[in-house]
Amino acid sequence: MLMCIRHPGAARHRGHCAACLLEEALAPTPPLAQPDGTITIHVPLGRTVSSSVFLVRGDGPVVRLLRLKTWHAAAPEDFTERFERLQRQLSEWHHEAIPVPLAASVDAAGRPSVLSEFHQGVPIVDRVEAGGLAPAEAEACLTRLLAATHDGHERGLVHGSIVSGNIIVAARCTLAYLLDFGHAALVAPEGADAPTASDDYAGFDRLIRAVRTPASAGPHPSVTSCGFS
Amino acid sequence: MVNAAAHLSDARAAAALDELCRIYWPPLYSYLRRRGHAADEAQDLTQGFFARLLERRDFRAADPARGRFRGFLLTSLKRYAINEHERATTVRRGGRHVRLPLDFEEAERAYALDGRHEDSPDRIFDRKWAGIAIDRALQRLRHECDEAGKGRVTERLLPFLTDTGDLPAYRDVAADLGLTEGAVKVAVHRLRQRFGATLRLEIGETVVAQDDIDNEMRELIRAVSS
Repeated sequence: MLMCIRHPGAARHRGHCAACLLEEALAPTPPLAQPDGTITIHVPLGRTVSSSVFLVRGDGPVVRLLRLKTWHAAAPEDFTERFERLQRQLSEWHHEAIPVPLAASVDAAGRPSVLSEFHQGVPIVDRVEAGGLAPAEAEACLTRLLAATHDGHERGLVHGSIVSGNIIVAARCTLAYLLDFGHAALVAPEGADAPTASDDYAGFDRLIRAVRTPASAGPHPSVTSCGFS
Repeated sequence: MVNAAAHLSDARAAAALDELCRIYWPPLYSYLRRRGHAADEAQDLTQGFFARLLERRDFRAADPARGRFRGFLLTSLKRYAINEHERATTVRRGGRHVRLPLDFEEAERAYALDGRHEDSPDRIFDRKWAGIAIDRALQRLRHECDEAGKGRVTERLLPFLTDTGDLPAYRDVAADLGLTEGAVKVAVHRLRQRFGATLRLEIGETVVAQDDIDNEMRELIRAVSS
């Protein structure tokens, strides 16, 4: 029996992590509620010119691993309103592959952050290139996420950054997660062109071509969890 | 159920309290065993405690601010055990009191099987309590699914309630059940949601205020998490 990654010390009950079972019954996190207690940064997961992603530990009533994304540029003035709207829309949508952000904040320098559940996995293209996922399976997975994204578009949501790092696949499970849905629009400067549905479709098109012709089938990538744009 | 026990004045209150006691007594037994009481002594104390509780309907004296049956029971048991120890002349094994049909053999087996005996008595009590609530929610869920004619599918999907990492592939399960992989994923998702709602109902039976459910849940999560 494997240890629960979210509750490493938790008791098992009927083969399940008892803490995970109990969490199923918790009411959804209220909008903009900060997790109780503090968070501690464990390791950086990645960095780009615009943002950084960290694995953090939430030290509230329930110790759990979370994912913190911070942007390097200042937040738009209406960042909080945008976040509340996005969180509400994603909560209503409630798609199993699309994590709902838990909380957002803006630091003293005006830089925004978003806290989400942590899902362990490897970017889909890396997994295919490492030989851990057959190209046909990866394509099927991307097609499902494309259909989900299309649903999102019909709800007025655009992902805005369909790249391999935002689609992670768990090591054993076939479930893939599409991370950071709507984050691009969260921090887009006022007056800038918002990402469009066409951008999402173009992103999926690039990824499907990438998994059809993987660059190599080399060793397992050292990245064990990622997901940032 | 707790509300019924606390507020109703007729036989329904007695029945509600009686049912709560019958469901949630094993954690008290484990608590007493962990406190160092021998099995027969823990059995006597458990029986005596419930006999007294049912006789006096003590739950009405519970601090409404606490609002949770779990906390009330444990606090009351601690007080009762101290008093019993001081008096040491109690009418034991029920005596003139009512005796509940409690399966102490099973409770003792469960206590002995628990490999985490480094835990405090209070922690063991809370963990057992959480386990009972989860079991009852699973029972309710199975019953519901059986009634809806989905018993076979549910049994196959129950292992997916949490991601233990050693689960069979969705496509294999789908092939077994004659469903598409997508349909299995959706069914698992719905099963998790339904289980959550069912567990919430179960916990709701043990608190006075519905606002207290999440706090109760968080305390139980903390109890099972370390």
